[in-house]
Amino acid sequence: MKPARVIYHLARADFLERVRRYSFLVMLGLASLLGYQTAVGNVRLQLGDYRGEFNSAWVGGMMSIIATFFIGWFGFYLVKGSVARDRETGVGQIMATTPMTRPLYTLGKWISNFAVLMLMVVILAIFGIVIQFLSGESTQVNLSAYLLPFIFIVMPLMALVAAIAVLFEAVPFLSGGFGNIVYFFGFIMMLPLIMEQDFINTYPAIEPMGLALLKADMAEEVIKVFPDYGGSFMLGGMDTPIIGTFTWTGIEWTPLSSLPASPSSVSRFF
Amino acid sequence: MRMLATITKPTDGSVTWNGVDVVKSPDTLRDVLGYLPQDFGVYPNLNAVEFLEYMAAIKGLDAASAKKRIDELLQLVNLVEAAKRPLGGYSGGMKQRVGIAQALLNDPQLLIVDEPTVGLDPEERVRFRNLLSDLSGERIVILSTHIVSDVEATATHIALVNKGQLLREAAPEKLLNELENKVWEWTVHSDDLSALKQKHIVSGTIRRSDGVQVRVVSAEKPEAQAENTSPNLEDAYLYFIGGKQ
Repeated sequence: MKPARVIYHLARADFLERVRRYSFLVMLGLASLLGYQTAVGNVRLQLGDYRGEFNSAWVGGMMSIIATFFIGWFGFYLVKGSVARDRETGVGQIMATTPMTRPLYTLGKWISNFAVLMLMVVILAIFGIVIQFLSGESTQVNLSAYLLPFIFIVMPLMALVAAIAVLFEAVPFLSGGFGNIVYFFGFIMMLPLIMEQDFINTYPAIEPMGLALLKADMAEEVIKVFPDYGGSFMLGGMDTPIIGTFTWTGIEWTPLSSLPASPSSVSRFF
Repeated sequence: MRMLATITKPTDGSVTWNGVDVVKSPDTLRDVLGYLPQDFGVYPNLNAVEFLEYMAAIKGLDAASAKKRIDELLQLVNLVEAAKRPLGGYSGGMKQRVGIAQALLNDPQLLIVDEPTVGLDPEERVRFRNLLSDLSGERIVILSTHIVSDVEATATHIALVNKGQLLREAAPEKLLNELENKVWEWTVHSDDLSALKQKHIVSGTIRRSDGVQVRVVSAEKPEAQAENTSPNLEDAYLYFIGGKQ
């Protein structure tokens, strides 16, 4: 038995089964709607009364936050359930009669969950490029500035959400509706709890959704241009008018050693 | 059946395959095992080829062997034309044929099928049990069923199990021989049927113009007018199970 082949087919079957469902189409539609709402300005990222110029770095950072928040929160419900399906269909019983090991099965489920979540992230990322062009503020696409927040912020979080979905299915009391409620409130409550901690100011990379990391870097830039910036950081449908824009060129991703001074991408994996 | 298939561990007794304890060394059996569970379901949005590729990988077949084997099995279970259609649109019988195809992917020496004909219409049931009969020529097939006609049509050896205990294990002919002179038929008034069922093991009834023809399994002649008749496996099942209840 070749483990790589087993994992590939396990993840592939699970992935195909899920992306062909109506529920996935609905989620895809919602992700597209979210992208559209961002494109037309109904959803935006704002630091006090200011926002960044719509260049690749800003749009990449904004779409990363949208992806981590919405897909991280609701995507969990889309990917959870694959172990239960194996149990209900009897496919799990068939697997139990094969030499396949439990770690291989778990790994395959995790990869499949991750692939489904990342597909939605890709949809949002594509919308981001469209948003940058529609805004007309910067026509130059800087791919690294645009994609690095997705790679260093969104991907690790999606991997974490994918793993949590598998974990919840493996723990009997979390596998049903109770687990869904725990995740729903856990996710939304975790954010302010973490953000209020003092150590987040020193080590923003520890915050798993990347908000602290992006906020810290964007705030550094906005305060240079607008010294009256009060420190707020908001994402959503805003009534507050924008009174000024600043240019943010993105996080300078540095090695682990400089974590306290300039948060490291690598550290996010630990 | 789940214990034999190495899914659950026995609380008592042992299961051995060629002398090897499969509880201690389950992979000894798993390498040569095909299993079709009761209430077998599928991934409804995969087609038969995708599903079988998935199962083949899990069973440890390499890509080339899997492709060849899947082609052969789709022919065997007569699903070539439907192979690219989503499994969710298959009938119960077609799903069961996919189930048997996945169980045969590793060309098992032991094939365990648990209640495979439940829910199938008569035509599909006959087709499925004929398939099982054909497969039994090359391997051991353990078929669990409550449908006695399936057993009559396919089994060469029968184990009667009641509440987890083995009651009898023999060839069908031997079981039937034990029932010789123990199956009786006669006609009673329909009003007497209820009382008769309380007193004897009734294995069949047929409504007639002059009353109800009853079929009773009993070691003694139950009534003066009762006439001896040939036993079938349903009679044997009721006799041995009924005797223990």
